[in-house]
Amino acid sequence: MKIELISWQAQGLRCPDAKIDLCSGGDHVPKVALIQMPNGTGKTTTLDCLRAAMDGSARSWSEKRVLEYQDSEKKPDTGKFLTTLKIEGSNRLVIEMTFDFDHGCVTYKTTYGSKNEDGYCPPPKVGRYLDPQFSELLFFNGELANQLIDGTQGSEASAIIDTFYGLYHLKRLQDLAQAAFEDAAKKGGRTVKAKTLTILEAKLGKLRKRQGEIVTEQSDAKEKAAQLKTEIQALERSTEEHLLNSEKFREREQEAIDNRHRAEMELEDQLQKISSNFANPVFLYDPLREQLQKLADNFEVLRLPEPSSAPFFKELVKEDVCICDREMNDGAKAAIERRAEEILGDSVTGFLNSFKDSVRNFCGEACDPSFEGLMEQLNNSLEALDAAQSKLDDIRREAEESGDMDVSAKQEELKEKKKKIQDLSDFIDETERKTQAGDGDDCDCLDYYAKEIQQAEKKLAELTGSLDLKARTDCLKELLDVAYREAHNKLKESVIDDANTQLREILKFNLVQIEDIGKSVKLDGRLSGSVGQNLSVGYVFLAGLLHGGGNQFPLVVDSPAGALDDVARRQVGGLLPELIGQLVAFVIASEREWFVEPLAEAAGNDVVYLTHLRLNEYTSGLLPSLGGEKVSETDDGIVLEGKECFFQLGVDSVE
Amino acid sequence: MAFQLHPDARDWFKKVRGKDGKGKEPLETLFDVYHMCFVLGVARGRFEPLGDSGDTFMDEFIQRYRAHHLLMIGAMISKSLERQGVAVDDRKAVVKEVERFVDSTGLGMILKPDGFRELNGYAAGGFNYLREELSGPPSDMVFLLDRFYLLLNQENTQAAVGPQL
Repeated sequence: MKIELISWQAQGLRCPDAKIDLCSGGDHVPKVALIQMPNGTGKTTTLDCLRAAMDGSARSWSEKRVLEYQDSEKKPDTGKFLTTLKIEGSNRLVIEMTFDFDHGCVTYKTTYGSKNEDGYCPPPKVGRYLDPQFSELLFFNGELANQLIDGTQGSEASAIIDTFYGLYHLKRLQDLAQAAFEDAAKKGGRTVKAKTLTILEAKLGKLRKRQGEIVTEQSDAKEKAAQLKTEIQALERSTEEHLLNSEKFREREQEAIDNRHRAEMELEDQLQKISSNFANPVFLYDPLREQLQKLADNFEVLRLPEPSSAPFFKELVKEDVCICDREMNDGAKAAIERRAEEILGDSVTGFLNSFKDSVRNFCGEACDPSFEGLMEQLNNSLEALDAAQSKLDDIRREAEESGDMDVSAKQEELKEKKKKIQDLSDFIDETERKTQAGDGDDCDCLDYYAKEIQQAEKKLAELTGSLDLKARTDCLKELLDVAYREAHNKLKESVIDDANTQLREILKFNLVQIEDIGKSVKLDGRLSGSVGQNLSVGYVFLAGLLHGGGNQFPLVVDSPAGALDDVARRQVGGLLPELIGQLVAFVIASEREWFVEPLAEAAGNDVVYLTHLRLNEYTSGLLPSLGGEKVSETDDGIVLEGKECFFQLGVDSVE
Repeated sequence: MAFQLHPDARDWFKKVRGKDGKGKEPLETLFDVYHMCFVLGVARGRFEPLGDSGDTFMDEFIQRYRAHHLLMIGAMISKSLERQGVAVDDRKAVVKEVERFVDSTGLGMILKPDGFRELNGYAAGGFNYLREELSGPPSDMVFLLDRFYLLLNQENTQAAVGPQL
């Protein structure tokens, strides 16, 4: 699906009346549209209306909220916001929102091709991508990038993948299946005492509620544990750095760190060698070599003929004369048939011949390196690692005893964090273990709740006579669950791989990589990156999704370079057109420097520069010096197009 | 029929296989877990059929095992003959056993249901043996490999006198 944003037009709203046409009246949609709207021009109103036009969400706005969009000076009865999208490169979809300020509501009209309908009714193939969960992500800002990384955004980062690929439909189907079953059970239920049913339903509700709570607690615990792990690593690094700066400990600390590093490298190398031979059973257990050879030798003794021999003899007995020119009489036929029976069939000879080849290839000589040798080396490396770690512990103890407050504080903090991580890990283990004797409704074992719920559902089904339907519903739910998990994990891996490939390209000097995507986007070995790194990760992550699977959607960005320093601005500016098919960026004058030039260059100068001003005494005075082409002018707003005008605004004046 | 692990194995190996079941070397895939258990089952002569309780995880040999899968099958046939007290030079019995487990009539060699059952039985036996010998689920890969190596190679009266029936 390809959706492009073409234009929008506002009238009677808090923003000045204007039409913004990103295509300058033509048909070509520029790769980048830069819209400069000084503060007070109604940027927030415009962004809100664009989003509501796309997802139809204004239908449920409260009266109070609708009135907030009324032009506060003119106080009109109605206002309009018209958005035009281009679908699949040709068809236009026009969504018209009418603000009824007398009744405090918004109504929609939709035009697609020649079809004009009252209401918000984009064609179904488009509507799927304009779902509120989805369209939320088309509107990006620096804050969302940070939230993606610190996990404070509205929805889980991994759920964004579900949104883009529509996997949430599988979850919805599960809910629908369960609701349909419960509805059928209620309607077609055998007559049972209402009280019994009520008690059972209440029990089921309680179990489900607790199960849901534990799932949330478990997910939080995993997030916290991952965060603590990163904090512990940072604390350990910081302690090392501190001790490496101390004259007293520097030498010993460095030596122990080097030894640890060496041992870790060796361990990794040995594990890799074991891994690359692991599929060979003879490598793991050498006595098998002799057994397999013996088996192969015995197969040799069987003197196996060519695979076609048995069928050949079976065909031969049908002839009148044998190949040796003797008559094929009954006696000869019987003798040949008896012998043919002893000759192996194709199904066996094929295996035996391949097996003998395999034994020749892999069982001739003892494996080099051997599992035994590698295990010995592995244990030596482990001992060296333990020794290096003990030395490091000794140095920390000595530093503490000698009154190094910094080390003491860090060690204390480490101890606390390790204790916390242990508690979290115990809790996670408890949630993930299998049910055991003595479990009750006060335990945290998810397996226990799953089984109790299953039992209660079964009992309920028995009582209502819908056992068969229950079994089929469960089967469907399980299938949907497996499909969801497999699709989600595979898509997540692919999103991470693609994003990391791009990050390696664009953050060469200060590389960050995505380790995982859970509640937040986890960076490799750190809690968060710099502002520029976070923004880059956010853009790469979202852009990868926006353009995944052959799709293309516009990305509307508010203040794309706001919080960045000049270096990061250049990086992000040069990056965005590489990632995004259509970028619509709302900027203010102070963001232009260091950002717009690399952006335009990366977009091959396929850029439209628009400056949108509210008309008042001050801005009217500025117009002659700004230049630019007037592309929209009303009594309270003006839109100018042109690069020079875009850069001229704010020079020698204050926005 | 397919490759099946002991129903408790996936969970038991969870900590050494890392988050989301995305394995670490050398237990990168569930097939590696299966292979570890299988080799131990064969080495210690532990054959414990799974019945209906198996945890199906794969229906064919994965790429990493394609070069060595015939050795696995050969080891399984050898152990099966040994378990039944059949000599490897008993032509008819050997052929019958091979025919029971595999079919190589077509382009490739395929395992018959009895072949899967036999391999799965040794993998389940190996898993049970590992579980009996370790005090709890392993959380460290090097520790697990070390125990695995020792258990494979330790002198065992049971193995010395013959396979468990």
